[in-house]
Amino acid sequence: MEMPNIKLQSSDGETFEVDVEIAKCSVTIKTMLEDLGMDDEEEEVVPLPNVNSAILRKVIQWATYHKDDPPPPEDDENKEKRTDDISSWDADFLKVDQGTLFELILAANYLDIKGLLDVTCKTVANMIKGKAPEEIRKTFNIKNDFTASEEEQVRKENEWCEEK
Amino acid sequence: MVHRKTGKSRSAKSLGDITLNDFANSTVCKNRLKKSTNNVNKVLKKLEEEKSWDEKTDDFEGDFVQEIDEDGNISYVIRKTESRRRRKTASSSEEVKENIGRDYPIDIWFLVSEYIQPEDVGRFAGICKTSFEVVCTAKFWFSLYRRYYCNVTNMPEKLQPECLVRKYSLRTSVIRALHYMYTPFVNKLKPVLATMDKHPDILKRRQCDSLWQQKQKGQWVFYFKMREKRNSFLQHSRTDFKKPDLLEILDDVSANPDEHCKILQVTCKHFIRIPPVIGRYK
Repeated sequence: MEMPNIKLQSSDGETFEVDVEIAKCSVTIKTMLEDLGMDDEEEEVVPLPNVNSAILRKVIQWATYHKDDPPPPEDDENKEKRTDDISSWDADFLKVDQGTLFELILAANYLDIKGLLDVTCKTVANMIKGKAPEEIRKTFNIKNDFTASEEEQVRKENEWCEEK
Repeated sequence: MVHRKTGKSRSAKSLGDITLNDFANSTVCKNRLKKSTNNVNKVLKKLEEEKSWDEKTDDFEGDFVQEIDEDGNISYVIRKTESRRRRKTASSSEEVKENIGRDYPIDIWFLVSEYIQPEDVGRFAGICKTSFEVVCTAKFWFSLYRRYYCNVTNMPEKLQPECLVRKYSLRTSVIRALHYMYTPFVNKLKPVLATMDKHPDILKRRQCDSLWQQKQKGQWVFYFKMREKRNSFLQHSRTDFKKPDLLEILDDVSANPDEHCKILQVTCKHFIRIPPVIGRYK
């Protein structure tokens, strides 16, 4: 039996037709469909004003690949978050420019897709590991808005965690 | 009759019109002012009030110039000088070094901060002002503590979860707790403890702040917390002279009440009654 489709509209007006079950890996979309009582048969378009088409395409690609994954476990705030358990498919999927990676984090957060949020944040955390702030800024193309003395003060305040 | 100008008109606060550019680029006020606060003087006053006294002098870019009109009336006007700002830009290393690159919203840094390991906190804080802002929040430190909490027998009670509920000195407490709970930090501390300074001379000019004792393996260990004698305004690493109010103090996540303290550890075979030493100098 063919699964019903749903139309998702990105912020720049592009419409994507996806399987409802795939779309429902986003808790935001799932809740929206349930709360609004949108029937699977209906030809309604779900607007996603916070996600542009390039990012939405990536999100759908990720969700399609992971559609058969078991539901992610409840987030345990009291547990150390491992960052070394990224699957090779996810690692390849996230070989994107820094801007896209950061936008995927925002999209995953907005759409409430825990698995995607987890893996994107882990990727950024891994890219930060072992690098000097200057290198990190270069990697992610981040503006250095510290003055020299502020930068030195931040470094001094954090000497406690420096690896000797 | 000589027309006297009021003192108000000589004030730096009525320098003339503030440009939209001046206001938008102000480093002081990030909050949008109410629409009702559209008076230029009010805007300037608000900006001025939020500055400390030394900043006010730095930002003042005008000179008082005496002007005498055809009737012989003396008035003072402010002439804006551009040279000072230009000089500062050219020579000062205080200026932001580079302005290329992107500025990401704080939400991203909050989300990523949940995955930062204790040894990467410094790197994370040093990326940009927004990531630093995240590291200055109580939320960050509570989350770091919860993620790395494990029950270790030797961790002091004040670092246990039931005692770690207030913002005051939270950062200090979490860092200290991590040195009990987080294996890489525990290992890092071992060689430091082995090479502890043993010469009591380092306690000179220190005042005994508090003392406590413990019975360990049939011996009594006495601890004397010795605080360095410092001028009151140097007590905190921050050099702002404005005294914070109590609510500000209680919200100070970065406060470290043990800053500039050393512990004298004395081991005895038997319990000894200690004469009153608190407040005494060595």
